[in-house]
Parts: sequence; C-alpha cells; structure tokens
Amino acid sequence: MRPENDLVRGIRNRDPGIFEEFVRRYQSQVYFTALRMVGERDDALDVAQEVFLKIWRFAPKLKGDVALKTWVYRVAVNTCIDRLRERGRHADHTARNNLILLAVPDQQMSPHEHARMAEELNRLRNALNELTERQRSVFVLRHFQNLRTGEIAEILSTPEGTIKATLYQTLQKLRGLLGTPAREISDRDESEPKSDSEIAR
Amino acid sequence: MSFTCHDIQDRWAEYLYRELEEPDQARFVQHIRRCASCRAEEDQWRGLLSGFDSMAASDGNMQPPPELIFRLRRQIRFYEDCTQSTVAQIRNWTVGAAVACALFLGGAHFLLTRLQSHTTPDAALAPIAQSVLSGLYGQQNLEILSKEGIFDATAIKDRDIAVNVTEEAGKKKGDSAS
Repeated sequence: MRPENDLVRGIRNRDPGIFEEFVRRYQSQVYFTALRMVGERDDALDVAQEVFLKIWRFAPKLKGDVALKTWVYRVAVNTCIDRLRERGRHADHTARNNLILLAVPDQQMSPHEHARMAEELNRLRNALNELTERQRSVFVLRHFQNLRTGEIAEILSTPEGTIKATLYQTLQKLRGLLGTPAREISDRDESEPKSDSEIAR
Repeated sequence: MSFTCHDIQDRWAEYLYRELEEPDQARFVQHIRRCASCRAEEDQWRGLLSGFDSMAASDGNMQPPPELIFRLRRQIRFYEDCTQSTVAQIRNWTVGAAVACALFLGGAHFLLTRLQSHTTPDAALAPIAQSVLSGLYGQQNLEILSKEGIFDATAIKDRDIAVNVTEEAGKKKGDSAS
C-alpha cells in the first residue's frame, strides 16, 4: 500500500492511477458516512461520487502536509449537509423516508422476523432523521465510523469539549425519541454506593 | 474514591465509547458495580447503541456499490473534456481579442501620425470653408470677390476666418447694391 505522502502527491498531480487507488481506499468510509447521513442508498451513491469529484477538482490546491483522512471526511460531511439542505427544500422527499427495506435479507429469517426487523430499522432511521445536522454528523462519525472525539473535532473544526457535549446530547435525544428517556439525576436522587460486601451478597 | 451518580451523569458517552482516561474509567466502573440504578441505566444505553449496531450490520457485506468507481471514472473524463474545451475556447477568444486590439491601436496610431505629418487641423478645414462659401455665393462670385481682393480663398485657415470673410463679403455686396 502506498504511503500517504505519495498518495497526496499523486492526487495533487491528478495521476489517474493514484487517484483510483485513493478512491478505493476511502470509498467505504465516504459511502457509509453518506448513507448514514442522508439515509438513502441512491443519494449516498450520488454524494460519494460528488465528494470524490470535488476532491479531483481541488486536487492541484491540495497542501503537501494535509491529513488526508480528516480532509476526506470533512468534504464528505459538508457534501452530506448540502444534500440534506437541498432535500429540505424539496418536501416530497419525506414520503420516501417512511419506508426502508433490508439491504440484504437474511435467507434464514422468517417473513415475520424480516418485517419486524425492517420496522425496527425504520424506527432507528426516523430517529436519526430527527437529529440536527451537527448532531447527526457527530453521531455518525463516532458510532458508525468509529472515530474518536478528537478526530471528529478536527474534521468539524470544533473544540473537542463541544463534540463530547454534542455526543451526549445526541444520545439523550435518541433515547427520548426511541421511548427510553435517559434518567434525570437531581441532588436528592443521589444513590448511596453500596459497600463491596453488599455487592458480593 | 469512586464517582457518584451525579459525577457520571454527563460522562456516559465517553464511558460507552471508551474515551475515558484512567483513573476516571476505573472510578466509573467502580461506581456502576455498586449502584443498581446506574447499572440499569447502562443497560438502557447499551440497548440503544446495539440497535444502531444492528442498523450497520444490515448493510450486508459493508462494501460500497461497485458502480461508484465506474461512475466516477466517467464523471472525471467528462469533467476533463469540458475543462479542456473551455480552456481552448478561452485561449481562442484571448488571441482573437488581442489581435483586434492590436489592429485597432495600430490603425489609430497610423491615422494620427499621418494627420500630424501631412496637414494641420486648420488647413484641413479650409476646403470645408470654401465649399460653404461656394454654396452661399456660387463659385463664380467667389472668383470675382477673389479678384477684387475682398476674398482670398487660399488664405482661409479655418472656419472662423471663413465665416468672417463671408460676413464681410456680404456687407460689401449690400453696399455696392445700394
């Protein structure tokens, strides 16, 4: 596998072979980020294509010391947000959001189980759709892309503390939307820690 | 010293995603072991996250569609073709505009230098003055006036002189008639 410096140089010189290698290396991250952000496979494919095309266009301006991963995710998140805003202007799209089918139906699954799982996925996806752009970006990058909050902070050009706070608020909101609100703790509710012997019993 | 329920309430996300540094991670775990309500809370959080894990698992083999590469290749080729034709068009227009400017400036320079070297602006007006006078008095009358010394057509330098002479000639003509 080519080192990142060579990859950056090749992209900057618009070397088609190196660019294709770069696309193959990052297509999964870009496509699945887009899929979780915009929710639809066709849209995700369009967004992924747009992300790489943007990178190709701006390739000659790429700095030599750029962190490729951060940059790719940043372009991907911004493109997804643009797509969501564009979609917001076309209200008819929301009708399609109510139905999702399993991408790869499990052959061993009964129709009933299949329907139940599809319903559950719809519920989760509708909950994701209720998040703000910022909350959705943070949650998708943290949960589905498994990026650390420090990396997300760099991608979204936001302080890490803000990202942590946003992530917690997002999880709280998701619990509320999915019917299991997070416990509110007041000073009076403070439970007494048990002793080790009590735990052992 | 372990955490209290209050201490951990805003730090669930860090704990669940294993981002707590030591010794906070150990203190968090210690508190959960001792507190039943926080253990129940942890179950709720983990249930939420496992739901989204199953969402990711539903994507099958986790590979983006192969047509992404093909579509991208086609788009890049199209973009490059468009860019090249646009560059060629801009180059042609620039060359054309430069040639037109050069021709215009060259022509203007040529006319100016020629006008300055061969004639003066005053002298250039003399034929105009003469044609105006001949229109008013007729060519024959002008010749008479010229012979009488009232008007010398060759002496005309500009339009003002011509007009003065014309007015003078008109007066003299009126006097002789009276």
